Amino acid sequence: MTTVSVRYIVNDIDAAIDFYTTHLHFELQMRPNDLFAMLGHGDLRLVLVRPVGPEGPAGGGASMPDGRMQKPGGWNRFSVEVPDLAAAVEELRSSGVRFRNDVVTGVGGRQIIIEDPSGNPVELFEPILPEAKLSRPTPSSGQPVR
Amino acid sequence: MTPDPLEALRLPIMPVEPRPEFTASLLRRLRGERAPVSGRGATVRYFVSDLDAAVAFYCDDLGFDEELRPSPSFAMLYHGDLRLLLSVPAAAHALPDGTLPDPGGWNRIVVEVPDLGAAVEALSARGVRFRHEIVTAVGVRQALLEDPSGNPVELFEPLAGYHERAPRTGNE
Amino acid sequence: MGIEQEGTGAETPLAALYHRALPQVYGYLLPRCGSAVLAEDLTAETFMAAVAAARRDCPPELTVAWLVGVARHKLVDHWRRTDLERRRLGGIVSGAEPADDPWEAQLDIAAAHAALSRLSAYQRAALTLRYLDGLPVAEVAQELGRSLHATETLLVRARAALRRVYEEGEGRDA
Repeated sequence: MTTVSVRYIVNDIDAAIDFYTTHLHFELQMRPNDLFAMLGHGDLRLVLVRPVGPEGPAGGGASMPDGRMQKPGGWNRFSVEVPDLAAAVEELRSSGVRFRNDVVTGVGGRQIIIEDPSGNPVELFEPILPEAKLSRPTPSSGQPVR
Repeated sequence: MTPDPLEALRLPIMPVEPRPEFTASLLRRLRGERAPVSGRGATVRYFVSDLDAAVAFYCDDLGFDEELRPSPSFAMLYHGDLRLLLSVPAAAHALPDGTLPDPGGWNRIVVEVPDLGAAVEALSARGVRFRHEIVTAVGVRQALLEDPSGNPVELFEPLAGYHERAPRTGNE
Repeated sequence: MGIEQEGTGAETPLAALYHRALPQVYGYLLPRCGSAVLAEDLTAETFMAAVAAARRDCPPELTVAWLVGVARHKLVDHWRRTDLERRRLGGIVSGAEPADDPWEAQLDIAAAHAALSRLSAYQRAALTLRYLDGLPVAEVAQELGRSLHATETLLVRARAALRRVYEEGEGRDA
């Protein structure tokens, strides 16, 4: 299993760790300091960094040569597949998680976007499954069903 | 007395298994358990302003494979276990207040390359924009570039012999 | 909370019943609803009601038959709730006079089911309980909350309405 890595910028490493481990069942793999953490969820490795200014250490949260500081937010996101979106939404709402939108139904399934404490989006996605079929054929004409 | 033809409608109960997801989620509800949010996850969605340019960039410049392109506003690409979905912002993506997504931001996919120096050189020659060129961080060298829509992509090359372990000094 | 006894981790009678009863309840509902989505919703309502009932001071005996009875009740309730909407949309056949001549000898079951779905909630419920479920008229009356006499009258009208829709159905020979 090769690991797919995604980096999210967060304002508070520990609040973010709490969010991802509690609500999305990520596993904390590494937190050497309050600037950096690594979490895992199946094939996904989520690398969290706190943005630092020009005097800060080199690394994922560093500012740009032109001085720009990194920021959380935006629209690009990783997506987590859930077997039951309605149940997940109910659970997350009752836990006070912030939602960016309402459930959207598309061709492949239904999805919704939640936000971590820094305002980064995470997409929850439930693929459309085929409807349950009758396990016996419907009664054919003229034949009494006993 | 003539038999009642509607007796033919008699429908004794035949057990039917519902779909497994329903069975499991109902049991969870009955137990009062919280529904776990889990599942396979190595999917990232990026918003792009020009789908053709984006697909060409990821496939030709970064070696992604195009899996699907069912419409002019959506493509699915793979790079190893990373599934990258490219979407052109549309009404379906709008927030309740009508706001549409934009490309850009700082959150990004992180892609390992065997030779970062060669990769950066080749990409620069093709006109790819970099937010920062190669820097050395703990255990890796990395660079941050942009796709044609301005979405960031991080490239890294692990430093030889470095073990992935929490650094003792506490500096990143 | 729910169906596990607090502190013991042991499963209650309802939990033990769940896997055995679920296909029976779902199997009861699915052909009567005609929709898997609706059958799932009503199945969930049935088991949630069972959990609530099990917590009462004098809980009922939890059996498959009891659960099916709850499911039947939920189904009739659903038809009652949606009746108003369907009337507004004009989907319901209003009453017809009972015919003197007998039905044709062999019933087209699928067509009869289709015709059933066009009837009002009470007529559909009465016929479903009496014929699909095979309940005696007295039990049908109890389920519908009406007198025996009123239920017998309802059944007569329902049969007439069913026959009218059935004979007007597509593809039927004249």
